[in-house]
Amino acid sequence: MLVHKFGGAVFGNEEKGYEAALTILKSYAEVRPIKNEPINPAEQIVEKIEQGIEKLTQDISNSISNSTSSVNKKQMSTISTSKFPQIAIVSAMQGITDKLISAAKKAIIGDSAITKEVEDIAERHLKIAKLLFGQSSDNGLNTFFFFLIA
Amino acid sequence: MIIFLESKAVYESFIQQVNQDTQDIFEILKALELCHLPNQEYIDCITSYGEIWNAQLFCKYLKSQGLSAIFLDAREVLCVEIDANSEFPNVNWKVTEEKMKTFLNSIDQNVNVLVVTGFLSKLILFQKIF
Repeated sequence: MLVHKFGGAVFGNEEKGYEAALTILKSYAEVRPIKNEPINPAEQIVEKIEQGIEKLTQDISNSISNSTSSVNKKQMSTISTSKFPQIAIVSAMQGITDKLISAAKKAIIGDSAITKEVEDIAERHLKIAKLLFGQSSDNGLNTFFFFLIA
Repeated sequence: MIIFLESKAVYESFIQQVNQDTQDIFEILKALELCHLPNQEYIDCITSYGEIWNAQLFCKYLKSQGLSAIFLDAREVLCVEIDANSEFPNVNWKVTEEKMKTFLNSIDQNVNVLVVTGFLSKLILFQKIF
């Protein structure tokens, strides 16, 4: 199992978003054969899973609270039942959480600028979606050709 | 041509979702404006949309590239509770494990990439998000 943790800076712009996706795609190609491996020797498989669990646990712990509580592998046994060769933990795009907090604070004091602020946040996501899903000519071709290669 | 049509459908469904969520954000902001109070639960709820949108977008993109990916809102499985002796919330592993098993049993066996929102969890008692 591979665990990828993508922080906000990774999604600072659409190019970085592409790079994150490529990381998944490339490593998927490398990991895919593992799925067909016989469970022998079992210790190696368990070791791979435990390494993934440990990293995932650390990531989740850090994400939710920056807590320093120790990792209990037994407690995370749920993940060991996972069938996923890869897990991607994804943060918000760079700056988005700060903007949302800012909008909330402005709302509390009755600042009318929040409408544009929220619309800008939504627009940024839609703009990147437009690029990713080929709704402009160049990126449409990129998506199409990449699919053929994959 | 099929790829273009699928991409367009995915793009349009994402637009629809963002528009709906944006309306929800405006309603929460309106509540904050009316209360004139820094309600932390409302603020937490608003900030969660950044993780949700980006993770969903990322998952949709991986699927558009031919991977069998599935999105998971961490709040569906990752449950925390407040301990009076701790500054930070603690994960309730028992509940989390049960929810994770239920989730894993509910999905297609051929899914090979799980895309999870970072930074989010659910407070068991009050259903609060962080």
